[in-house]
Amino acid sequence: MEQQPTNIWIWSAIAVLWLLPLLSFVIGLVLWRKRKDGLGKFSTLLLAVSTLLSWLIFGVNFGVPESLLSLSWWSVGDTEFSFSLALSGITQLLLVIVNTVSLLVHVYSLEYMKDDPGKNRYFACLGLFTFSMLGIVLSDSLLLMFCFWELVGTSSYFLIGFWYKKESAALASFKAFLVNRVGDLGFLIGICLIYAIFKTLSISELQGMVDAIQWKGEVFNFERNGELITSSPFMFTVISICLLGGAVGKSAQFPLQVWLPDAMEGPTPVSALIHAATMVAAGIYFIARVFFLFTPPALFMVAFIGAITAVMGAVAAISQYDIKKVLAFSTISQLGFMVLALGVGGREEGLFHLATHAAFKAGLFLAAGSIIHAMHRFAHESQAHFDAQDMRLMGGVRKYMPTTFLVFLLLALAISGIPMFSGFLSKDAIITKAFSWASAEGGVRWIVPMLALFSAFLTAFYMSRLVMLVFFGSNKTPGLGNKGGLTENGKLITIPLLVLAGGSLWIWFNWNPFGQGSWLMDLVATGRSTISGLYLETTNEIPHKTIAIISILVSLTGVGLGYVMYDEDEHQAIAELEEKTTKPGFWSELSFNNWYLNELYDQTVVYSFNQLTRASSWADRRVIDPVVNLTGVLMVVASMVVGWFDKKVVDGLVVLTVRITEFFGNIARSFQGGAVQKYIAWSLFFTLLVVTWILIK
Amino acid sequence: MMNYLLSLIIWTPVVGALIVLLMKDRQATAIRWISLAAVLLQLAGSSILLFQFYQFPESGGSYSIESFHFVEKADWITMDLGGWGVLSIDYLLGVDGLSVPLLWMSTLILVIGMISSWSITKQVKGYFALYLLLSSSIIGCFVALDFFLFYIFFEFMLLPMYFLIGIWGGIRREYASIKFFLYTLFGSVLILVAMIGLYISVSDPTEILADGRLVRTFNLLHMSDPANFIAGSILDPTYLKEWGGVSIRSLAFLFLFVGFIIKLSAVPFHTWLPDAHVEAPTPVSVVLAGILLKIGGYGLLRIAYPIFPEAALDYSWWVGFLGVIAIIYGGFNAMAQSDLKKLIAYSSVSHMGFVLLGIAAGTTEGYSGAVFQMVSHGFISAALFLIAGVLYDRTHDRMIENYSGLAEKMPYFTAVTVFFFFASLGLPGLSGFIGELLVFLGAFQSSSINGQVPQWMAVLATFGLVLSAAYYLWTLQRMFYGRLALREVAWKDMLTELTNREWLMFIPLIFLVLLLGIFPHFLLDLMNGSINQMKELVFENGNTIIQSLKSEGS
Amino acid sequence: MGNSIYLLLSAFVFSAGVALVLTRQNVIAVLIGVELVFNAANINFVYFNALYPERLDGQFFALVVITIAAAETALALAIIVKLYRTYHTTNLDEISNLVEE
Repeated sequence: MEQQPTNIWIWSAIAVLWLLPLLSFVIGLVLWRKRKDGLGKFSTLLLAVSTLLSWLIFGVNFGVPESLLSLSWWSVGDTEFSFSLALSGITQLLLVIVNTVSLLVHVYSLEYMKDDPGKNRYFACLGLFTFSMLGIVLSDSLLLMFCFWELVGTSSYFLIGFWYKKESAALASFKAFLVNRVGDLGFLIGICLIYAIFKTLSISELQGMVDAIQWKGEVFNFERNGELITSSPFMFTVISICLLGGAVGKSAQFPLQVWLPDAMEGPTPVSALIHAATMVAAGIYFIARVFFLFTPPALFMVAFIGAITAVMGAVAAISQYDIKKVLAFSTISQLGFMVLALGVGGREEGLFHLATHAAFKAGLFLAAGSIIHAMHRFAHESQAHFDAQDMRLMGGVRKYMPTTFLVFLLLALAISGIPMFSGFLSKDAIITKAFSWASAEGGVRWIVPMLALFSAFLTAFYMSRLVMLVFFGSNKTPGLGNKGGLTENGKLITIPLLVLAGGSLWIWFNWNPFGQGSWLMDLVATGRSTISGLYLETTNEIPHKTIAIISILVSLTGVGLGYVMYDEDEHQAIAELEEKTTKPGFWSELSFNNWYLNELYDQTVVYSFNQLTRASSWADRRVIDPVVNLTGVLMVVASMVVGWFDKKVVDGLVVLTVRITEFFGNIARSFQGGAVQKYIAWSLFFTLLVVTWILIK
Repeated sequence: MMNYLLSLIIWTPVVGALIVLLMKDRQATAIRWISLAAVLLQLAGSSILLFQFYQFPESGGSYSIESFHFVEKADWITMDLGGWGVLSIDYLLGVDGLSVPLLWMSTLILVIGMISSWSITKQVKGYFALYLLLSSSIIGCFVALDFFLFYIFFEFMLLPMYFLIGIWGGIRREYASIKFFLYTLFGSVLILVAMIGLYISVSDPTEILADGRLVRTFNLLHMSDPANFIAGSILDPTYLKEWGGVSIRSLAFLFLFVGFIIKLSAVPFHTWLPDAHVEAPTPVSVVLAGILLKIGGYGLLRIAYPIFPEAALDYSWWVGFLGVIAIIYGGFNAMAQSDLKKLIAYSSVSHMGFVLLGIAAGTTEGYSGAVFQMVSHGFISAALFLIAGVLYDRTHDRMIENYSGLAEKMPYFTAVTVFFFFASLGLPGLSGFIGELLVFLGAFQSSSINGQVPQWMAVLATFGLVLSAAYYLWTLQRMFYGRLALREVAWKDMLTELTNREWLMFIPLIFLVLLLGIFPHFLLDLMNGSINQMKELVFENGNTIIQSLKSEGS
Repeated sequence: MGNSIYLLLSAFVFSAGVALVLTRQNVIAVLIGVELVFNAANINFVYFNALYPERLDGQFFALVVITIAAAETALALAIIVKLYRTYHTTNLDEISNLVEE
């Protein structure tokens, strides 16, 4: 419970490892347009230092309770928004994962992006991404986390649209940012609601309040600075669901998963780093950080979203022909798995899967990239034009690229949940947890572990399909027969692959390949109270062995089925069968088109969005402006009326006066004809008149 | 000299304008440099002001002339009106934490607008003289503490603006300028009516003549104290006067409110803005969006809210509602535009909605957010219009669909554009985010603190973030990404990278947007005290008046 | 009634003068008419003075009038000469403009 006194050395090390990627970004920004080659190597060096430091911290600070670093940032009114960072088990783990994968991707990119003219920009963006991702990991303040959350989204935007000249890449980056933004609204609303109730955004302070929570019948009572705060469980559910929205966007969960497959337009190392290992896992990390706020109803929702996503992603992965698309849908499915784990209360299991998934999915992407790179090179050499990512054009790659094949095979086994690999350990832990959760409450909850098992089966199936199509059988690359063939890539590419493959072995996580869980789970556990923990649910531990056996069987069935179906000869037969039935099956179409989600959104959300756009533009041009113009016209008409009135009536009166005056004036004028004698006559007349008047009087 | 700093800042451009008028039209270069010197002096003056302000202690206590600095007071018009009392109009200037950020922002934007005006070649003398007059009246608005003086400056802005759009504008400039003029004049008339109502209702408590007659004053600070209203006068807060079922005080508030939100270009009084922007030359757009809109928001906070706090509290639901409507409606309209400048204009409408929402929320966060948003939008929108100007200068075309793949041709320009687009769509780390965040924090809190704005409005307003992301990124995608394709082949040579002069305009803005985004306390600390004062004033006076009216009613 | 002969004379002269002034078109004739009116007045002065022999007011007035009339005649003649030079006529009907044409 007590927080460690701030350790100056640890924190300076963190500051250094955090700011090095930023330095890489800034330098990249300056050198952006210069055609210098050194930047990539320099960035890689910076990242290597950063990675080394994070491993050091991991070792030195192992098992040390959470410590905080809080600097004053800005304040408004009496509320202080501090720049607060937290270092705990989960942070250390993520620091290591992010930095390591980022370093490997940097190394890999040195070779992969060697000939790209925009590689300085590329490394700069990688630096920005790594910096902001580390920011998410380190933040203790939700506000700070949101800032970096948006920044990773932005760097992801730049990297997806890295080849901006390609229309599809530009469109994909736009879509990714926008869909993420929708999810982020949830995050933002959640932050605002938390702030409105608790007046703080610090996770550790919130955790402190939850620790000291008082459960008073219908309401929760919290204490903050001696002030009593009351809130209803319903409010907490709302907040949790809002926060979940952020995670759903970033981690590509149902219903916002549509952006991730498109995001594959970015360079493959980027897909490995951002869209497989780290950024998309930020949603899981985020929920894990604020897990203590989630109420049981919210967690129920989390579990179902996770389960649905896991199955939807896995189904969509089955029928893709683009190798990166398969992996993308697989990522969606695996992320769903992690979310499912969180939903069933398995915070630690989810994070464990995050860690193992980071290694094997990054490895899978990089291995796929290795093949794509070789295909490109071959296309370039043989001056053929074909889609370098189409699996139908691969086949038999095993012979040409042995290292890649080995790595890919190991990693595919890992993701399929075969024992002796990390994937088995984490998946098994999740499924066990899900079964325990379901059996405790029963009813509709049984759907969740069933879906989990089903998606585990599908995962094994589509991975074995992928391996069969790409590595086995005969090669189908156009023009391969006569002109050499695919060749293995250089060391800069293979070494990261081997490292990641090595990282997917069981031994790092649990000495027993069939064991339960991992020491990592103890590392990331907080041991603090949670809201959901307040609701005393009956627990029912399902024996781990039973589940392990079931999940191994399921995985093996999947692998076996894939092997049989996509074995060269069998596959030929199936393909021929498919060709005969001219109409592809409903299910395969559904799978290939990712459940028609894109089309659905186009028809509903995008359509209504466009309609609204049109409507408001119409309102502006046809309603408001005409009203304004009408006012203008009315003013002109009114002024015309006034003008008429002025001319005819007012002026008329004036004219009348003038006429009258003129009339009299004319009379008077006649007196002054200039004829002297007339004057005299008149004066005489009037004198006489006066005299007469005097006399009469 | 320090004592007259505000006057110096106001009148320097007038002197400059006089010098410019004495020169010959063909001495264009000299005219430009003199004008630049005038606005630079203004900037220097306001920078001194700003740095002095960081030294001052945060203003506390009640809202009065003591909370202002650099106060200048001189009798301007004094007229003995016999039994009616004495009419007194003062030349009263002063700044507090609310006006200083806006003041400094304005002087900077004026300098940038001046640099951007370098390319004006038509009737140079007239242009620069008008520009200088404009800059003087803008500053006057932010520092005047006498309603009459404020009104003079407020009105005087119209004149140069009208000509600047009407003479140096685009094809439909006459339509745009007359629309602008009529709109704002309509608002001004409403403000004038309210001002006259206040004039006959408020007396100066510090000066009472020996024979007991009252001194009528236009002093805004006196107006903000309900005790200074003459008992039984038309706007007397202590008892309710109604006119057609609406209390006259509410009516006066609404007049001020409408008058100011026309300037702020809130829906439905916004349609002058896109037209004015499209037709105005770039520097005028910069000033219009960067500064003029803010005078509306400033007027609300400085005049409408403190003087009629109870009406303000009464109508806060509607104020917030208008804000949300502006955010959403402006966003959707921006989506629909095919003219880059119009798009930016509608995005301004949308962003000014946040100001209204923040003010309506009535929390410290909301007020701070509103002011922060105004300052940050000042920088960002100025840059956005400069961006549109960069393209327009080169090709005389602003249509989005006529460009594609500019990133390849003008990479640095694209980088600058991306930077400001992201700043405007509220990317954390850049200033636009902080303003919007504060408004959201304020709006979400409001229902539990003071019940001014319901939470669903805040939720609806967050949708504005998606909209802004949508229209900016869509524009990026259409204009800058993809293959280079232009409407005319010849443009390929015209579209050159940013010139040094253009960099000179963008760099300070980039710096400021970053600075305020990462270290918002530079701005927040400056205004915190004044914002708190203002909030307390509005709520204390407002609730007191509401209470007294209630007890009278029962 | 015996003394009224003077008054009648005066009235006759006055009437003749007025008639001359009103009817004649020649300026000089008009001037002569004016002189007659003067003389009618003089006759009245002298006559009424005779009624009060101890006073001399009337006599003096008559003398003053004669003197002024002489001066006035001189002036009038000068004007007439000027008029004639300007208009080349002494016909009053033709001289009805105060400004030069």
